[in-house]
Amino acid sequence: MEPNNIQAYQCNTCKQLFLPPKTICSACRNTETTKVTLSGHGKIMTSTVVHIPPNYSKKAPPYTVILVKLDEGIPVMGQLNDSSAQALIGTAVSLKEINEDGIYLFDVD
Amino acid sequence: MSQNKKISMRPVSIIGVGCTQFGKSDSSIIDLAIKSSVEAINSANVKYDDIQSIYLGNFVGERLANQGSLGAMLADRLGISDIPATKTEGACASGGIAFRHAFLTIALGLYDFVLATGVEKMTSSSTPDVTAALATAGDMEMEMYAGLTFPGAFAMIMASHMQKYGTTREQIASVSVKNHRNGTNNPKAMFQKEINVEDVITSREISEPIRLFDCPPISDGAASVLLCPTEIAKNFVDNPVNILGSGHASGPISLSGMNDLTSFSATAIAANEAYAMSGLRAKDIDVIEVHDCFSIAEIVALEDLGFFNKGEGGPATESGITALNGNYPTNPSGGLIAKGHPVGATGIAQIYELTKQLQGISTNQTNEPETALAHNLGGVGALSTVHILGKNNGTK
Repeated sequence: MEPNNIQAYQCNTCKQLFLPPKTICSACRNTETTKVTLSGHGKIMTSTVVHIPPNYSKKAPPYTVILVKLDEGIPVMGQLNDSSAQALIGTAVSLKEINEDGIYLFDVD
Repeated sequence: MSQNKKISMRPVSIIGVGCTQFGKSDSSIIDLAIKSSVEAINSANVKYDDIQSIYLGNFVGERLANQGSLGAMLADRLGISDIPATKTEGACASGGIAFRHAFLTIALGLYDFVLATGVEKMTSSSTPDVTAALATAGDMEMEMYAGLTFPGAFAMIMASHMQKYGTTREQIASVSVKNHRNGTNNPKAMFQKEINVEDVITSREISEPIRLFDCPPISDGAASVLLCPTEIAKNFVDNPVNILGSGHASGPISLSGMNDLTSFSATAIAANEAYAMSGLRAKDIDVIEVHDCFSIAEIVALEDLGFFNKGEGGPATESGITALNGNYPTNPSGGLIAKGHPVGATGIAQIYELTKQLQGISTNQTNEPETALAHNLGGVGALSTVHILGKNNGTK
């Protein structure tokens, strides 16, 4: 897997995109999928600044978690790379990197 | 979704209820479950050996209280260890599912006397451990491991509702203010002190825009009900309460799967099932307990249940329609926010409050209600149960 691209899966029959890999397409119930690479560009659907983190997060709070609707039409949960940046709904963002914990880090465009 | 084929169901009533003090308890998880169960059984005037089945709602007992097999354990401790006892898990709606299955097994004629208990023991664990345990109600791989928490997920719902409908910070805070006010009259509530809008919007940031007083407290507690067929209910108590409708539905487990970030489809589907069974609509309901796991969740729930159009829940709350003396009195118990939210117990604690309301003996009594609705939500809309109750006016 290339470290700096979001890999999604596409149903071979109905072309639905999904993340993470599923063993069945919930739209058409086909079980054959193909791995596809996404652009990493999208817009913020909603966001939150986490002040009280869970014990599975290594990031020092506060940090910003964003739900991004990628240009290909599917949403992914990630973080803003720069915690001090504004995460207004509708803001365009691009993937900067996938960090060592597998978290998608985005920069504001 | 395919509609259930018509099957013969007999009417079911609540003849006993029990609820522990919510808050920080010295009791073990099983002792909490025993306490509320004994209260329900005694108030129903049934013999222990008459109980034919137990449903026990619990979410994180294995993780936080280090105890599994809670259903069988409760049956054993009550001295009825040969009956079936089933633990139900559906995150914060675990109790609602237990109640529904107790209802269904009687309605379908399988049993005559069934106990439903919900329990959780959370205060012995650290906040990060509780936060991590509750997060498992969401999709860990897809969403939570991005550093999201359960309050964080609802903060995203809140941000979306504010953006889409112009719902204000003050309107959302007014849910917490109202529920804290109701909590002052509930001796079993963890919080019994009034707060104001300013207190809410200046309290500690948890996950923006959610602050501390938008959240329910981490708490211990248990609640129980004892059910039987309506036709024999008055042989045991003078004031049974009838179950008029029941609904249960699943929805997307993740925010990414939601078509609309301001609405939980599971709530609307479960409500429609319960409304259809009861023949009632939202406008016919006199008193309501909804799943206010965060202040914004009460607004979303009231909209999804059909009490208000989408976007009107915030202004309606601020104007007092959901207050104790309003048109739709909501969470007279104080709700999860003031009463406390021992997650597995919550769905049955709602039934406890509404039973008392319909019997006219709640400590925070509304004006002679005839009908009531309970809404329990699991995860970030992953599932919901809705129940409609009615005062027993019959002579039987």
